[in-house]
Amino acid sequence: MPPLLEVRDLYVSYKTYKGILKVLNGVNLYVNEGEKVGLIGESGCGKTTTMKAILRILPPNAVNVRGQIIYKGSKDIMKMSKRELMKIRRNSISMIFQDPTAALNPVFKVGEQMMDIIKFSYGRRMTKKELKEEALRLLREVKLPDPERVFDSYPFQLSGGMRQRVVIAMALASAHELLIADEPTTNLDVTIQDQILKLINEVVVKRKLSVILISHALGAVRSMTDRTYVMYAGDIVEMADSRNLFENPLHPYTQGLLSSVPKLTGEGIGAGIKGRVPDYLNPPPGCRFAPRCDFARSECRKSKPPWIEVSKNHYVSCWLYARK
Amino acid sequence: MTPKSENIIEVINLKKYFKVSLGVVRAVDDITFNIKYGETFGLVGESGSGKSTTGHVIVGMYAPTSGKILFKGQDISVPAAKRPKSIKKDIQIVFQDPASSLNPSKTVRDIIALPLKMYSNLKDEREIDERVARLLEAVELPPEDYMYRYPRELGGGEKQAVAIARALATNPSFIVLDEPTSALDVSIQAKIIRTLMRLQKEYSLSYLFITHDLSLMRNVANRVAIMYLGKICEIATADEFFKNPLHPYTKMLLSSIPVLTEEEERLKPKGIESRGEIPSPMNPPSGCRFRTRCPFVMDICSKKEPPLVEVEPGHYVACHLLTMKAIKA
Repeated sequence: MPPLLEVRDLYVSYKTYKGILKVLNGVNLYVNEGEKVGLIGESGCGKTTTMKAILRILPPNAVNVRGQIIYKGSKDIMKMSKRELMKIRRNSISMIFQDPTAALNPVFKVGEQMMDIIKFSYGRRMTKKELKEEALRLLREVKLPDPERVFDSYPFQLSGGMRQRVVIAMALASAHELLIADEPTTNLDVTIQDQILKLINEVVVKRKLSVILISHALGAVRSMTDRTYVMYAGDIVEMADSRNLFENPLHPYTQGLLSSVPKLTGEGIGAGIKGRVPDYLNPPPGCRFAPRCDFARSECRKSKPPWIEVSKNHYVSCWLYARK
Repeated sequence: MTPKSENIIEVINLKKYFKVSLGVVRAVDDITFNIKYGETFGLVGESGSGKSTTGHVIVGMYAPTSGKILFKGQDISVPAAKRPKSIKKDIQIVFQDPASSLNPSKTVRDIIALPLKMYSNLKDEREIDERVARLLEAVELPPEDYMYRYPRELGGGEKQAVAIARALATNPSFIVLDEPTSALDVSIQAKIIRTLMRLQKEYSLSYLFITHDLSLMRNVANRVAIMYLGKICEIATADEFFKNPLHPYTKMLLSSIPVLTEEEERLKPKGIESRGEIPSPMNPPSGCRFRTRCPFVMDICSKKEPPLVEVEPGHYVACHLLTMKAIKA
């Protein structure tokens, strides 16, 4: 069976006053039906850009967008007409954004915004009463206490955690196949983060959705997903089954990243990674991680490393693992 | 040894209320703790717990509503403007967001030179250059590269390093670190934390380390206090804290942390799950403030505020469950 979603050789650049920023550098990834996929990497490495490209909601300064985004083995989202694209957004893929405050319109009540989305997604005539009932049903599904009150509230009257629940409820209105959760808990406290992640996990299992989860809470990605991609500076550098990836990271970037995370066992914190994410105006020609890598050799600076299967279903893009 | 000689900071029954249009926010509501010379004291809590306000009152950003702060035995319960210069230079702070705590129109050199001019009476520009260069070296920024850069030309970690160099410029003995790495990526956080830990030894500094990240706290603090809605609910050494957490809120916090290994998973308390949200600090629950989210809530919890009692040497908890156990024993 073909994967539900397959991204092939995706390139995206941004035009800025400084020049062209070459961000995505040939991204390849896939999501199988019913699979939960994690995407990790530090700020500015292109995670959100990849997701926006999938839904074709890149900002207007995105240029040189190349590649294929194959949905259900047949259609290329990149080549879809407006109508087909609307159908995908309406019925198939939905996205939860990082900041629930920005995702909700401050001047409309939650209920009005939800009814708008339901009207758009369900694509059939519904009376106001039906719309409201459906909205309340979704609010209950995300376990908001007192959904009637939330329905009649403005976003500013809700806490951050409640707002994120509303955003999830809205996403559920149109996510029938794939849910993209882009840092759904970044601005939330750790106890609320825990609740929201459990909620997402629950609705996803219940509705049999596929998920792409982007998160800085690496532990959450480890426990929630089946397979994880690691991204660095516009490249996918490693992919493996989630447990395996976190136990046995191969790419020097993944190793540096995971060792930097403070552990509850209290054995101290790793050394971090020297330097910072490269300038996308003139990214390094070979491996983009080479300038920060302790193991970099001459070939690393010359050409992009191949995608190597080191062990079963554990891939890495690094010259260290290339056979001579 | 008298307590005075052991503690660099003593906070006694500190309260800080803010008047707002809708009422009074009780940001910090009667907390007591002390910080020993040379230690890192961690203050952990979620947003709205009052942890930053506590730090801000200690550095003198505003006066306490009531209560006392002693610094090296001296009463400093007044805003910074009323403190003697010698004390102001001895207490410094590093803020959470280096992008807004550095003046964007000044070079790194000028940013660090300002406290030198104010507190060390340095006038000779060459001498100032020399001191700035040494401070930049201390935070691992090569002076020849960074001296004349502007904050906008620096990455987040580099900016925070400049903020740390500026705090060091007055040669302080105590620094409040207010979420110094929460705006940074983990690989950068690791570097900044290592720098801070090294500087602590080199300059014999005492830290009040404010954070919401318990895993980070585990690795940097000697002792930890947990705050919830303006109150301290538990104080213990870092080791004790993670081995034997006692307050239900602490357990809930620990069980909510996403972890990377099975070994860590085993350290998380079982049988408690995060629920509910933090109530408004304008109208906190009566009695124990955590009772609205606590799975073990009893009748007494809404009636009486639990006192902070020492249940084991150096391990303080404010919870009726444990007070009762202690009395029975």
